[in-house]
Amino acid sequence: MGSASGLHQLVDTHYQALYRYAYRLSGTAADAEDLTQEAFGKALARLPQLRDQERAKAWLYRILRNAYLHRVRDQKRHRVVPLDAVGDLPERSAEELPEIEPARLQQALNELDEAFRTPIILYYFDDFSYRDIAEQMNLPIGTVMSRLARGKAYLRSRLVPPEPGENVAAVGDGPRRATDGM
Amino acid sequence: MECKDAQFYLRFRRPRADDLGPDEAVALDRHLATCPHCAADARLASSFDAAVGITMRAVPIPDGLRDKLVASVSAHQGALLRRKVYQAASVAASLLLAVGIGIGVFTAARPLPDTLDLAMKGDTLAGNLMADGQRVNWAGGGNPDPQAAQTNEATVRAWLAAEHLPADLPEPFDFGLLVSHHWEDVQGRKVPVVWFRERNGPGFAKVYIFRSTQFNLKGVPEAQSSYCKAQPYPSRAPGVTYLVVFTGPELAPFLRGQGGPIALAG
Repeated sequence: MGSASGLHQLVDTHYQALYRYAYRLSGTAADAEDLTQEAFGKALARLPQLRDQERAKAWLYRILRNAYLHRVRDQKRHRVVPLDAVGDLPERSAEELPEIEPARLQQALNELDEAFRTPIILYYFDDFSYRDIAEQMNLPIGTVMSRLARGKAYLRSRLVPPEPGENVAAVGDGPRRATDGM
Repeated sequence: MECKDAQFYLRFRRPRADDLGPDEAVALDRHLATCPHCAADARLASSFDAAVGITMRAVPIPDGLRDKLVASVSAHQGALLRRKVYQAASVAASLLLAVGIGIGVFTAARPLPDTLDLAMKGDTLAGNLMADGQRVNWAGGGNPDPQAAQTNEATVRAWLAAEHLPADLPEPFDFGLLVSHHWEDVQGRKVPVVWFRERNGPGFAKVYIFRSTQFNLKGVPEAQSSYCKAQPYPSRAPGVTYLVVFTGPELAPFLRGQGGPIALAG
């Protein structure tokens, strides 16, 4: 894998998924491109650490997430919403679900703390099991499940218009500093 | 399965990949088939997840991204290779420097043979020999036996060869006058020595064979004591210097063709 063709193969195989992940994490195309580039650069330097090619994707995702966290660590630019008060999913019929606009989805993701955003993104990318997500984030699986439940509830509240009489006050006050209560 | 368990297991149901084991999946499906409330929840969660998943994954890939990344990775690779080459070069230079310093320290640590001390030890030996009347005790006394000389020389040459030293001594010593070949402790180092007696007297000549791995052999000085002279002889073989400590004014009484056996086989 150390050869030029091996590296190009690594890029060819994973760059699209990695870019999408970076986009959903960062929220902008420019940041996503930079992050993807940075992730491959760091991966190249650490290539001898990758012994199992089957794990290449998870390995690259972890490198990218670390690069992202490193970038935002001191910026504190993300204003995020607290999810303590978000309840369970309200009941509603499946037939009523509207189509989800990409911009609104990204906006909702941007409002989430990274601790909730990452498992949500990985969950909907489908390739990662709960166990994989827990490994990616170095968290117990129970914590991942809890964050997913609350993150999904928040997305639901932001993406699906409330039915008449439905209580959404807990998440409708606009972005604030986030704590996940854990 | 109860509704509470079904609600729990629904969390593991994924739009495209299920985290449920086969047993749980069957049990959950069985419950959903009989519980309209949980079935509605399952449909709701499933359709929401499907809608979000589709949108989540629908990120357009910028044109030319792949080529940009390949170019970037190639540039990174080149930089890494250059860095590795520089690192290897600096390691090699450091090693070379360390070896040089080591050799310098090693060279500086090797002592010059103390020729005066050896000459003075020769004095002590000469005094003892004269006091003991060794002159009459030297094996054979007078002219040596040519046959013994041949055997002695062969023995000494074999011993020197076994020690990876030149077989020839710096002067044509008469091996019929050989007293012994042995090791002596010189300044804490074992040194091979070939010892000859004088043909017609109590004197002796000792040939010390110094190696450059043990001693600093640059500029080994001559020395003179009361009875003995210490005379250095550089060897044609690299890294070896002889020091002959002998009684009297000259080496002639210890050499071939000086009244003893002539031209023994070399």
